[in-house]
Amino acid sequence: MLQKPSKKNIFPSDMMSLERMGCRYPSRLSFSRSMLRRMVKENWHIDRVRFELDKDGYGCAIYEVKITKQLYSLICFSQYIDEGERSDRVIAEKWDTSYALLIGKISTKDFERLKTNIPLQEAGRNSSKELVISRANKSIRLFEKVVCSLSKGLQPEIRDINDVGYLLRTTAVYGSGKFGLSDFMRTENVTHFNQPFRAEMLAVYLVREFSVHLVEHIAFHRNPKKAVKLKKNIKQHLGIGNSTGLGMAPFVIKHPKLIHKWINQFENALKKIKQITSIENNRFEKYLILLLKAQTYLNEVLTYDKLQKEKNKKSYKDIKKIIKFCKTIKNKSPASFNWNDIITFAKINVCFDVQEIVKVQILELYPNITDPLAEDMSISDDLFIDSDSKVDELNQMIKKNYNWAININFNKKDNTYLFWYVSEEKLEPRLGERYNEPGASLEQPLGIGKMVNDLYKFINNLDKQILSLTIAEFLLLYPEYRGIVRRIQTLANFKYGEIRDNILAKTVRPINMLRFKLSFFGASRYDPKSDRWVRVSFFPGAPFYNDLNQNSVEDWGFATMNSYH
Amino acid sequence: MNFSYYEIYITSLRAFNGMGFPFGADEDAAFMTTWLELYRFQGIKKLAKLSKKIDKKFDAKIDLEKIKSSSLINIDHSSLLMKGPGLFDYFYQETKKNHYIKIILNNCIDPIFLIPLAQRLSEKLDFVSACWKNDKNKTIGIKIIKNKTLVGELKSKIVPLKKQVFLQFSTNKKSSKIEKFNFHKIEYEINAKFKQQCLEKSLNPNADDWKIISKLAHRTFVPESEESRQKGAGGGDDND
Repeated sequence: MLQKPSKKNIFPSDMMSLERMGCRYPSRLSFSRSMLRRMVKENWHIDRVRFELDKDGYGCAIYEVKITKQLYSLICFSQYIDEGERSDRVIAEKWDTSYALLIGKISTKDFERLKTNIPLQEAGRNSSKELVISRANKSIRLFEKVVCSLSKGLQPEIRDINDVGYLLRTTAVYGSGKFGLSDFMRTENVTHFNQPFRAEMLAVYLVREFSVHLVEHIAFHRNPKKAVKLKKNIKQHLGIGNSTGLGMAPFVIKHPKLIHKWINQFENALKKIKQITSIENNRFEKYLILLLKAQTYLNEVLTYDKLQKEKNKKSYKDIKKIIKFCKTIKNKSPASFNWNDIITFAKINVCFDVQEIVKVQILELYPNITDPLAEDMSISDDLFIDSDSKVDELNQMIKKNYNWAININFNKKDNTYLFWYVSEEKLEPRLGERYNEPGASLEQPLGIGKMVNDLYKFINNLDKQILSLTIAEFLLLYPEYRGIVRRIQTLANFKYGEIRDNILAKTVRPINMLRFKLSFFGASRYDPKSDRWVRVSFFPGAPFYNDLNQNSVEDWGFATMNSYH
Repeated sequence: MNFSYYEIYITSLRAFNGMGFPFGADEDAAFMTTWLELYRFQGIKKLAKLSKKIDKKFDAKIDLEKIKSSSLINIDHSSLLMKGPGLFDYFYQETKKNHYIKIILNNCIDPIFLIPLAQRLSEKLDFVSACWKNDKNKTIGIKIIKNKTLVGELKSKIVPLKKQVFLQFSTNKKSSKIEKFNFHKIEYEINAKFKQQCLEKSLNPNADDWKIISKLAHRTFVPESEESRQKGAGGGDDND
């Protein structure tokens, strides 16, 4: 039944290669999806309690979220800025809008403090009461266009909405202790946001609500007699934009256990589904619909990036192959197949992107398996030294788990071409060219492959007696290896924790790490602006709060222009 | 000014890196400092005070033969921020092997940094205790049994000399080998509840000390340049 694997058609299957990581898509496990499901399940109640904007939309709004007996507030500030001041970069200092999500109701005292600090973002100070801060700029392409249409009593074209995807684009969403905010070890204990980035996702979802309220408000004041509100089918296609840069890449390397956990949960879900021995007809029908939806999405999503365009085009073609294969199954009776047959077919016949689409759409079919795993995506980041194991065991561990690293020739300049650093300019994470730019002596310790390679060579150049030392003894003699030894030992039990590629190589595309992390956040509509930053959308196609219910929360992934009929 | 745990940790980490601590050793030292700051032991103040002594003088090497042959270890006025983590790995290994060990550290200038190390080790061991004389000549003791850490003044008969630390490690908190000591006054009881209280109140290092640490951290940043601004993060603002 299945095509025989041929060498020509086999794609490398290493889950943690950069190329593969850069092909991931959001799934039911993504944080935006699980946050919204939680919102429905626990009946979170959202109220707009303050909306004091002038006719041009400048001022302040507050949204309150009630979860059981606890209240949270999102405060939104909207201000005028000059065109020249608007920038997606971290180094910007002014934004059209800024936000804070905090615990409790906002008192007058809180308000004054927030009013002073939140529009400053990184330059402001926050307390442990604040969970998240963010800022967003208006889309030059879309915001005014939508205001104009609505003020004339017209709906914007859904094609225009689709081309851009959002009215406001966030340029950072900070949480977990940044700039004085509540640390995650507090947030997860004292709030309802006990999963990674859940509070951040709530803030982003509320910013999306605000973006629509803002555009409708301005349109109304421009022409009170004629202005209309956005129709549901147009509105729902709007996401909230996000511009993401290199900062996400160090995160992926510095939190290996967390990264492992996310992928492991994904794989656990798939593993359980693969064990289902036959596929019911109705489930299979739904799967075909989901594949077609993903195909339409790929056809509709707009990007100006050449590589991404090619990727989407290839994926569009490859998804046809999957659909064709599935139709063959359908004709022969799905009951005689299992999901592994389709995954295996994909592995042999289609590109990485479509392999991922095949998987995430399978996960859609089994919420009872997937959703509980999405509520267990957190893990301590602590790494430990196994002090009484032997250096020889460490050496074997390196050979087994870091084969990819010890075989790289780091004497070749191209393999150490890049270095990661933090700029003194607003502490922006950046990437430099080691042999062409200054700053390499201040390199961040992110080149794991090189560090492992160095350690391996070091151990193997020492007297063989060293192999019988314990790790504690070895580190007393050579304390400079503490960091890398701790990482190697801990990650022996976390197989998805390590990117299995040399991120210092000239050929590296950091954007792959960004997309990987963004997929777990639930971001879609990838629109790279270079190999180092990307624009995406959160919640495109997701129901707005007033339309949110048990049914509508389910199937909004891969939203297309005709998803809302 | 109030800071989060993350801010104190990341700034200390950078400061240690700026002072020449290698990868891994910087993480341990930043953990020790931040832990003390979180639980109101003035970690940042202590680091600021020590910074001149340890700046660009990282030396965590320990003579293996010497510590293998005696339970008396001469720290030689070096900071535990450098030597502590490695020693505690070794103590753990020895405790696992022997179930109980007793160690005396001599010429230890900053015993306070033992507390976070001992607390971290208690996740793996049943019992850790330590005592030393503080600047006011009072005997300070810590006793850590699993998730509870007690710190306070001792009325014990065990009297360490100046710059001397008595340490005990056991795999069994009921071991008959453990030399008990009694608190005259428990000044800190550290547990999960206290941790949340401290996090809620945020961390409040002294402004002058914070300035010293921030300056050291600043050494790790690459100076601004137009080239870096344009190329380093991918360039372009593309506001559309």
